Amino acid sequence: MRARDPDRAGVIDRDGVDIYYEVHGDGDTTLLMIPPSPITHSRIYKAQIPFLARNHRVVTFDGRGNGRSGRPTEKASHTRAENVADIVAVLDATATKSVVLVAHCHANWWAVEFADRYPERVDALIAIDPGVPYLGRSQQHWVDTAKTFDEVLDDPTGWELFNRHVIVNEHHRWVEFFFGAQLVERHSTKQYEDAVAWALESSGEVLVAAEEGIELHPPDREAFLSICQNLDIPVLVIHGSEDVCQAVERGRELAAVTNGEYLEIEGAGHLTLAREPVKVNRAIKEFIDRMVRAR
Amino acid sequence: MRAREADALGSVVVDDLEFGFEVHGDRDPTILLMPTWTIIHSRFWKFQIPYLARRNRVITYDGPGNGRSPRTTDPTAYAVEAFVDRAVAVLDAVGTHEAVIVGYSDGGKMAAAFAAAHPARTLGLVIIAPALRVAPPSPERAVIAETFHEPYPPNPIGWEKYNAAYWRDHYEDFLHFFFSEIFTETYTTKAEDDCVGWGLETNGAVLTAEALRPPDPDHLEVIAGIEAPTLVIHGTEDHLVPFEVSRRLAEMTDGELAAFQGTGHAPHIKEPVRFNLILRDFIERVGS
Repeated sequence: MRARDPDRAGVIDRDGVDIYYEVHGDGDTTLLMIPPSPITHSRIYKAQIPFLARNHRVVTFDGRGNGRSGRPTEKASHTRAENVADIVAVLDATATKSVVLVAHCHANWWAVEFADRYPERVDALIAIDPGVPYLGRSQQHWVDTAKTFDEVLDDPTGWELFNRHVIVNEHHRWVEFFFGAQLVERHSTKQYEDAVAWALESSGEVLVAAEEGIELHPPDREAFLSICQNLDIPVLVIHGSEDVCQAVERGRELAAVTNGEYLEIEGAGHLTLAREPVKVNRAIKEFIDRMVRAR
Repeated sequence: MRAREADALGSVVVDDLEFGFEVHGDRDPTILLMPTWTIIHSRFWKFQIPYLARRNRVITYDGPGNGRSPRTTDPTAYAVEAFVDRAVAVLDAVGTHEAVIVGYSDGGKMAAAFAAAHPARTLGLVIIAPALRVAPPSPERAVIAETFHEPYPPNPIGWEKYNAAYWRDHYEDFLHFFFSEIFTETYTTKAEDDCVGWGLETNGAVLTAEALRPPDPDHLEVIAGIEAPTLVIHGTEDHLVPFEVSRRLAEMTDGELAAFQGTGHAPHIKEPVRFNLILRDFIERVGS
């Protein structure tokens, strides 16, 4: 049972891939909640949407590969450009002129590229535990597993489960390990069960395609830094200090290079928005209130 | 004989059921004391009402199944959302727009759900020993749901009595067991006797219907919707709901936490003076 049902929902046909979206509430400001699919979908924002929709119009969607959206298995269907085009399609379908982008983890890479390409459609960016290239540092386990991703490993365990063959053949093993590792806080059973269940609505084949697709045609470091520095919008970065997916230095640097505000939530891991929803919600609300007053 | 009689008794009809409410005192801000698990009724606030009513309008109401409300065995009447809807109906009937919402144990869920659904009507939120799943339940209690509808063992002990058939056959014995778990402190005979007496005003069939109520709204979504200043109160020796639940709830809501050292599941009954002073102080701050 959900705390709030959407006021409107629909499906867009994006060149043969269904994209499911929802609209909650109304108001002068629209927020677009971008989920880091396909490891999750729009329900990752379940603790934010009912709260934010009290005062604002909130649009969300299931990213390609999970939820009620399509399940393309080609990596060419999971490029950043395709995900950015999904954002455009959702805004057009909901007759939304411009938005405050809210993104978690790697959805921030799409958000930044969208903001760069469509500056007139972006009012602000709220980046939660952001996963963007080059900034700060990468967690060592990502660096290590990138080397063995394609190998067939004997009896892989721990971070070695981030492996093409494991994910395709034993999707649940990777998903369970990943969210178990991310929820560093005590008493996270509910968040763990939610996150694993949402992830398992997709498949390992889709997840591998998406992991590869997002990395296709990457900008170089200078080009990406330049995009961030030229974002002429208010930015708020929220990061859990104990995040083991995206190192906290990444959020700090994103805030620094975008001249943004920065909130670090002490002791929180990667699922900050599910573990500390009240703090995250209040920070978003106050940021938008300040932004509206400054107009 | 009560220390203070109600200034007004009334009732509201919601979904074809009539619910009794009481109003004590007449000054803003209003304090709404929510019902809790149907095993007791609104008299469980008896140490708070006369004190708070000196300076505030205090409203209590009886949920379905006990006190001045009907003994329905329709499980849907016991949904958390239904308790919130009735609270709104009571506030409307009294002509009160906003209130400090206070909920205890099961009522902690109801109070949180009220605050999340009606932020503009919530001046402040006080939650006592709430049955919210933000930390693991105590191990003995974690298993009861699995055996609730099974036949009970011969000579059941402890939480084995938390069982639909046992409630049907030995309801009063269950009440004695349950309230002995609530009042873990010494010198609690009177409090236990009160509670057992309130429990005997309802019956096992009603409590079984309540156990079959629709699933609670997602506790995380509810907590995420809290905007009001929050005070959480919990006894450190609570055998029913671990103290950790309140520690975590206060952390999540940036709320205040009042830890009652050595107290069990009912700090408002066992330590009423200290409890009332803390509540009073909170009401003065959020109500001004």
